[in-house]
Amino acid sequence: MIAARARQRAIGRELRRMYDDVVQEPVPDDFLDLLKKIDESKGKKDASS
Amino acid sequence: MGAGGEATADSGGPPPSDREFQRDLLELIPFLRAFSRSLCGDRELADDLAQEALAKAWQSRNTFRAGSNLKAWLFTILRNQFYSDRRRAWRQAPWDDSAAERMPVARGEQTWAVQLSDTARALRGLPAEQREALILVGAGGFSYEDAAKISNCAVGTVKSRVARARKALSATLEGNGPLPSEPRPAGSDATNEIMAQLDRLAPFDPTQAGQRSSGKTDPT
Repeated sequence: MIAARARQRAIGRELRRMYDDVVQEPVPDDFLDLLKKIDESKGKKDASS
Repeated sequence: MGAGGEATADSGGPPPSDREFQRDLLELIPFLRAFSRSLCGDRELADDLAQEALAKAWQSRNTFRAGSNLKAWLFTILRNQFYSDRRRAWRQAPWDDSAAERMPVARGEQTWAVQLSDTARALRGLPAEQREALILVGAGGFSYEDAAKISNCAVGTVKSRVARARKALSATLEGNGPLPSEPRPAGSDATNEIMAQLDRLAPFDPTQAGQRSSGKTDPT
């Protein structure tokens, strides 16, 4: 069953790698724009209060 | 708490922690994207879903309990968005086995499934709940307890899903299970070579958590 355990370890590493590959990608501008928009609407609210 | 809370109750603007909350969200975007892609399979759909979840998280920020796990909270929102409407595009297509033909394999380097490894393809053949559980625990580093909260199910259910997912992936990679699309050379030599390659990858090992819960039934 050593082979089976090695296989499970390998699968785990591969899953982790796929996930981490996405984590390492630069965040697309869309996301930053979204947060900026949130910021602006927040600023408006701040100003009106 | 109690009577002294009056002073901040009607001060109008957002609570002072908003900026901090926003910063925390910003830091979690990469992880949110990774989880989203593991659910959707497709980069663009996944990013749409992640943005929707991010906006929802901001709107619901007052329901977040300070000090609790923001990442788990965020993932829960994304997951609920994913399952809430079956008609949405991200619920269909790429991971869906019947839609394997439409898998955007060659769209660009950024696609989750580019260089589609055997593991990635085997992952695609799993039921969404199993894939989700396996990603949360096996790749996202969540405890079974947190994964159960995110997936809104019992801890035992998560364990069972993870165990079955691992078993299915293993069987597929061994050649005992169906591998969705892209036939690969059969035979143990090829498998051994792949395993040898995988062994040279990052030394992280989330599968060693010591669960041997196969055979348990999944209550869902």
